[in-house]
Amino acid sequence: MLLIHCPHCREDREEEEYSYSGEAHIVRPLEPEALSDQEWGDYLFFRKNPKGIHHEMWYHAVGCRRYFYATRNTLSYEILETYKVGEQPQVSAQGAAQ
Amino acid sequence: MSQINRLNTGARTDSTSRINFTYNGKQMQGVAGDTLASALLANGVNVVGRSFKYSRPRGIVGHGAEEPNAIMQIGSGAATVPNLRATQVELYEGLESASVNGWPNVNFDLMSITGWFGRMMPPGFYYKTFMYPAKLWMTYEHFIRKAAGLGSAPVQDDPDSYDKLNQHCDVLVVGAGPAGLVAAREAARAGARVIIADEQSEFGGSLLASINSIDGQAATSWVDELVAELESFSNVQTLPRSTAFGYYDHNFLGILQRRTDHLGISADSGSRQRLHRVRAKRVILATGAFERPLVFAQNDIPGVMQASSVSTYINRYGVAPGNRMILFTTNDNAYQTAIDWHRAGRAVVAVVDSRSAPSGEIVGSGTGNGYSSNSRLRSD
Repeated sequence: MLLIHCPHCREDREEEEYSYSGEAHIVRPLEPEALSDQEWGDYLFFRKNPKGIHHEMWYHAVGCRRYFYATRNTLSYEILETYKVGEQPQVSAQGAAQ
Repeated sequence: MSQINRLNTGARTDSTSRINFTYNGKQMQGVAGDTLASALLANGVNVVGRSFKYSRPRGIVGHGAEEPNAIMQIGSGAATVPNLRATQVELYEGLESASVNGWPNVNFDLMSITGWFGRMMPPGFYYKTFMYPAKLWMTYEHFIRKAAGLGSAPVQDDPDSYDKLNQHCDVLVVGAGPAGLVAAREAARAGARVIIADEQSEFGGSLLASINSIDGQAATSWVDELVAELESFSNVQTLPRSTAFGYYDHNFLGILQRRTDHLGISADSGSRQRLHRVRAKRVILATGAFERPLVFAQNDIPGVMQASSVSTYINRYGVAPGNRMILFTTNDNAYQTAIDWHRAGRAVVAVVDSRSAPSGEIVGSGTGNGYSSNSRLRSD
């Protein structure tokens, strides 16, 4: 079971307090009607599912009830950082590769 | 039946005490500090189970969690527990035990005649042979059920209660042998919150069966001192009879503590077993090692035992499981067993070493210790 640091509460809490909310940093297109069906489908349905470093969104469901982002290694389940919505990650797959 | 194999030299047993128990309905006696396995060996019980298909007789091989043969049904009625290893069951007054297979009993098993026809029974024999006529399946099934499976589960509701505990600590030590105990002590002296868990009834691991000395004192008294020091710390929690069964993400571990199983079914003191859900900052795995059995023809017959187990039964429990021994080894370590056997007043018939020219401190000390270079044979 994961131990996750909530950047709002500033505490390490058990995984069962949170719910997972999918990939982070997905931006809604400004003009959906200008997109092709392919591009709209990609936005709606296609996700990265990487082996390694992954940015994802978590919801502190039974705590502060706010969303935040986490950078997690999907191989080791190590959580490298958590940060608030609006901030940028310090660790990235590109950065780790270099 | 008397305790024909009992010695009065067991480091962790009190040979003057008496604990009554039954095995397959027979009254027997053990002593305080015994496991069911050591008490059975003391009473000269050789056959404790039967193999699955051919009902070959099986005896006690090991002395701990690795024991494959001595599988027992403990207790009766609602509180009965199937399929416990005799090597892990602590003896208590009035313990009822029974072997889980063998019919009509383990010493005379009618199913063992299947061994004579083994060549005529390919894999899948049961399913293919007993299919027709379909009407007779209920008749076949009665006998096949008897041949298959191990112990029987209780049919009444469980009378015991269980609880769980969420815990946090700085250092969790799994295993309380020499490495685990010293690690826990050093962490505790540094002020860390420590939990140390061990699956056995008392801390010490391999040292409980050791006749060597540490820092000039006997290994077992060194253990006693260290455990006393650990228990004097307010920041240390000691968990004997506790099996760490899972190591999950981010240093989360599950530990099952057996709190009253060793007191018998009459014990009425809170929960029987407790689940500790531990989140640790650091985890030290000091789980030790098992001896690996050697492969040779007929190595499953009763009387074949691990060398480390023979030493453990002699040194820790004060039981010499037999009279004459042939030691078969691939390394220096097992020579200690020959020395222990000789000190127990039993005969070492031969030491068989698979190496062509074994040498070493303990190998060379054979003369005067029951085995000599004459009795050392080459097996190649």
